[in-house]
Amino acid sequence: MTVVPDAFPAAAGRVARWVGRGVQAASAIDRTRLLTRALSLGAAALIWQWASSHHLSLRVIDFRNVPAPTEVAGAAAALVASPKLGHHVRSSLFRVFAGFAAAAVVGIALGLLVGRLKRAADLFSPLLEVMRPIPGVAWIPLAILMFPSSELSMVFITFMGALFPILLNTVHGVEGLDRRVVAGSRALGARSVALFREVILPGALPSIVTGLSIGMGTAWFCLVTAEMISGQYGIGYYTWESYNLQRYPDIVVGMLFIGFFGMVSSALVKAIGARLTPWYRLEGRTP
Amino acid sequence: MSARIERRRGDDAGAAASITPASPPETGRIVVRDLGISLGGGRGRGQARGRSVAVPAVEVVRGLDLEVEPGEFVCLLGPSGCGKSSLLSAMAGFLSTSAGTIEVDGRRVTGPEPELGMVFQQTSLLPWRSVEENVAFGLKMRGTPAQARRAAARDFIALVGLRGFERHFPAQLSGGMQQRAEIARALINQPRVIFMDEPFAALDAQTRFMMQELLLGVWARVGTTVVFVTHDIDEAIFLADRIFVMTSRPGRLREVIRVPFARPRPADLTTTPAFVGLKRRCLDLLREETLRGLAGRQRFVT
Repeated sequence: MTVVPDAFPAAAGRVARWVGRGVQAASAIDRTRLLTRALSLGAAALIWQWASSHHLSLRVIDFRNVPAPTEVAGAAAALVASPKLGHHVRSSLFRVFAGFAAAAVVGIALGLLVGRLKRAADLFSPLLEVMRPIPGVAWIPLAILMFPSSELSMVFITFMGALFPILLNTVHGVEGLDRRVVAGSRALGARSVALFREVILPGALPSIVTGLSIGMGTAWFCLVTAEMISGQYGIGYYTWESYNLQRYPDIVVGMLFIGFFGMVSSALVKAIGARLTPWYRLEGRTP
Repeated sequence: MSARIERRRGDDAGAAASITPASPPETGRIVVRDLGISLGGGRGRGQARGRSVAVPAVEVVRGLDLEVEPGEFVCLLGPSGCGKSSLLSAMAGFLSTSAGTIEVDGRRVTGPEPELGMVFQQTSLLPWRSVEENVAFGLKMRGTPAQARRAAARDFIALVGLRGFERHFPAQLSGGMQQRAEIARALINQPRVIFMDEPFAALDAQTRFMMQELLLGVWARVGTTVVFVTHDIDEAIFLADRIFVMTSRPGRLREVIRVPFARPRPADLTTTPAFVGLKRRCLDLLREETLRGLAGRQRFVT
């Protein structure tokens, strides 16, 4: 076991409360709307239960091999009880956040430069334009060849998946900056690094937050695909392995876990984004 | 530099108007010689079937000379499109010139700088910074320690009557309050000159008048040279020591009108016969120049 410093729980609590306020602000919904949403989920589950228990077959779509929600619930309970779950989840979360964090750092830094400096745009744009249309998952075969460690290749694929949404939104945010604000700040003495820190980065931040939340989605998408092909642990791997072993309810359990973690990480990004851009809501807009 | 305000807690802008003007400072003299400004020349501005075409530059100012005395309040008045905003931007260093020289206190203006304050019609406050941080921004860029710049920011916020709004974001302020913050933000750098480009044009009449009085009160205390662009004759007469009336495009000075009214100027000044007489003179000049501009444009079209 690793030794955790005493200060860690307190700091984590502070961070959680800080983020929590962002979540509250981002998702203030009244009760009727909440009820409507719950009903929609419940109805979908009921139809699904009915279709699979009656072995519904409509020629083009077939529910005979689709596990019913009750079977899925049983399988989910079994997985939650087993020690395997932690291992799978930890592997996936590590890969997603490593790839996403790298993409955020590279994407934001590069985006600020490309959006602001003509020279940087000339230097990087051709390369980026060539690479941009290539989806993250198309990198899988080459990534396996490029990285001796399959772990690193999966992180790389996640990185490629998240990079372009973050990069392009950052560039977009910088280019959309109010020119008067930039000119005014320059006149007040903001130059080079100070200009980036005080004006360009915060000015582009709402757009960057949008890029990050899209990037988080694509990161999960790329990761799950990569895990199905080259993983040893992870939720995507678990889902694919369940198919190969004909444990059909487990497929759906894997899918639900992917959905759950994808949703939570997107909500996290949004909540952090809302906390970092408090002025943006005052202007009547949401990032 | 004498453009430092005294630290006096409890003063607000209304009270400031009754304070006697500071002795004329020695800084803030503007000398413009044979100035020419051309806009939008070069290739690529106009697009015809995806091909860039050469666009002739528009000459907005030609052969313009003017001088502004230290500590003076000057209004640039002219028909729309006469180049008054371009002239102001050039003097503040935001716009490059095509001919002539602009000097402030003997130094050529080559680009924007904190010593040349600028207030635009639309706010250019940083939306992500509080009023206090916005006002202190110039000092932060100069490396003033946080404590000192906060104290200075609070003084200037009080000077423009924004006390109590230090922690607000610009989006939480009305248009008039945003412009107050802009004025404080420019003044904190102790500029030689403050350039104002129709700063109150977007405000409603009542607020505009309050802002004019506030500006005069602030100016009386700091004594900085002010160059103020407006197309509102009442505003020009109420504010200025001298009004520079410009010709239609390409703009140069048509006439310099000295405004004889003593300061502080009362709110009912605008209804006095002397004021109305001056206004009529400005109106005649503007109408003449507007017609001349239209005639010139018609000749251009046919």
